[in-house]
Amino acid sequence: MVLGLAAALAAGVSVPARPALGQGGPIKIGTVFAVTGPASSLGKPEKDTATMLQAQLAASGGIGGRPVQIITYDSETDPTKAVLLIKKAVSEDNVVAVVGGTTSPESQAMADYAMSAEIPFMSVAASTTLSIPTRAWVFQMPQRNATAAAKALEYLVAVHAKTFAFLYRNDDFGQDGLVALRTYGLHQGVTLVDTEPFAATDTDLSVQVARARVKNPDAMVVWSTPPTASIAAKNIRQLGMKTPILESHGIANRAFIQLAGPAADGVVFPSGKLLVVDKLSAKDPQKALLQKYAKDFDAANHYGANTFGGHAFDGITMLVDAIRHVGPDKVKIREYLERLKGFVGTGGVFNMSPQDHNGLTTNDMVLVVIKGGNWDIWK
Amino acid sequence: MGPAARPAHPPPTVLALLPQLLLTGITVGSIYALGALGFVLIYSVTGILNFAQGEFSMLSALVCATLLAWHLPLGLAACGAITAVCLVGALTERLAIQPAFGGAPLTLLIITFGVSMAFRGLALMVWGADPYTLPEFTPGPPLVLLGGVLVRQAIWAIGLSGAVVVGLFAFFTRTVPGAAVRACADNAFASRLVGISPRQMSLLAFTLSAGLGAVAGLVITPITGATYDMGLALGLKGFVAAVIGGLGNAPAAVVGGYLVGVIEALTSGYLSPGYGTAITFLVLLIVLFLQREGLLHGAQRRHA
Repeated sequence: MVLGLAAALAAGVSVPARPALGQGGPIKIGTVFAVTGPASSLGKPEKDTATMLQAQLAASGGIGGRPVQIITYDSETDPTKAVLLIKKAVSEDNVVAVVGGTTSPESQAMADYAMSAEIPFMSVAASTTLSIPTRAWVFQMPQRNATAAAKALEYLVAVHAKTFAFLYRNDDFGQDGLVALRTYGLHQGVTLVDTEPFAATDTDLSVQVARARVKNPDAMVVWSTPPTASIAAKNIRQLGMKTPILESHGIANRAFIQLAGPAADGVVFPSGKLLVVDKLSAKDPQKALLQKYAKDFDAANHYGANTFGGHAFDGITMLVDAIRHVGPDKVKIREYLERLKGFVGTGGVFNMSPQDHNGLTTNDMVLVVIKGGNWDIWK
Repeated sequence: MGPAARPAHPPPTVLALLPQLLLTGITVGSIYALGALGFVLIYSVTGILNFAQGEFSMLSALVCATLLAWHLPLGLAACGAITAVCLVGALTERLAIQPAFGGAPLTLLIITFGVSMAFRGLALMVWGADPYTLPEFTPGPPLVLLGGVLVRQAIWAIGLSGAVVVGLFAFFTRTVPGAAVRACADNAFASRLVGISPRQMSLLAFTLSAGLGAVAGLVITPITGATYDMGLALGLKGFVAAVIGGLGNAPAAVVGGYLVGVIEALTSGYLSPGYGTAITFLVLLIVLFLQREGLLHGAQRRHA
């Protein structure tokens, strides 16, 4: 079992005394995902992952003979509902920990509640501010946006770009990327020469591209999700720019390639390893886990696994691992998670510390290039 | 400010940007113009502001994308999508508008809002939040005009907005049903006296404008992509364009659409990309302040 593997790996690092699992009803873990609403393409695989893990846990007899119940709630992509549901999970269902917060606004709101209620919260959203500064009860499963930006910058350095223009969706996600790339760029001698914001509903970005073109950048960087991420790539090529295009981890889905068409070719972006699992070297510590997750997910849900379901997988398996070691005790789970080292998940190999509740680095990401409508690892 | 304080020539970027800004404005404007035409068609016949107009475009784009995924040729898929959406338009009129027919304009407006939310929710359930796309009608590299580029699909959108204006003009002035629709719009009571049913005309207007929205959706999707929530932005911008054009007048609505597109592109290009939409709504407010009488007059005339 994947769970067994994860537990075994973690157990190699820290071996606490056998926990008192106690008697009584099932151990409850709460999950709150945006199963419906605008973020449903993220939240649905998250919920489906939770359901799949619930079945696997039931089949393997729970934790230490005690059944585990994963309660799933749908926040409908609404931060207010997300908070109400985490409250419900904590105060009515008596869960020992919560996984969820599909979008960053939902996660922020839930994190605030988790802090006041003192309950471990495993966020599946990527906003950098979720784990910087570190908050006692909040853990972050995806690679932070800042980590993705740092990975992205490796590409600019590798292609010897000295200047770049930054086109970004004017929200939390885009601004996260802007701050990170500008800062890391300064350290590496890559200068940001132009910033062009746009709205998620914009249907044409050739104005932004034309403004950036005047500055003659060595590379065009786009920080958004489709459809605007695709429109940007199309407009850049339509306006005859031949510069390399670097995009964000927000385009790690088929929709980007379909919408951008031929303009997608050659676009490079940072991504978790799930996307290119079959191209990973056999020595990669995550390869076996990723292949198993992808296979299990496909068999259970009849559609392909994606990174977002992976974040839910990491959150739940990490909690299960913690409960296995220290029992269903909120305080002990928190302390265990904070010292967790070498935990292999879909998002990377987590090395938590009291200063870092994310525990992932740029080594947990790869640069992916789109070639002929497919993903490949960029060399 | 003395002439010395001003640079002798505008900075080269100002002129270098202009052709592209204008062409982008026209591309985006053609999208708004198509959205505006749907508003005008229903408003001029029934006095209803139909905020579900954008949803017709969304539905046709997504239905067409699905039919294409079933390996139907583009032409057949497009016809299928337009037919389906016309049917949806007719059903909308019969099931949602008809029961409240003759109600206050505000009631009907809120009903159309409800209809649009229902369609959006339905589309989210059926198609999910992922964007879809359609192939360009005539693929190929974009055209270069005066140093700016214009995508080929934009020419289809521009052509369509022109063709619809001509088509509507011919329909209203040269055909009997068209004359009946106009009569209804002018005086519903008198029309009933001569045997024209305002309800039938309302059905006709909704079906036609659903068809128009459907065609618009198919034409713009290769440029913009299609998502379940595209209708809202499309409808809002179309509404702004229609209001700026005067709401009752198809050619003016088209001009309004292009005006909004060009204003947006110029503000985005020369001020900041963040200001485009804000300026558009500012223009809308100014037009509403200046033309309030005209707008209300239209609504009250229908109400009487």
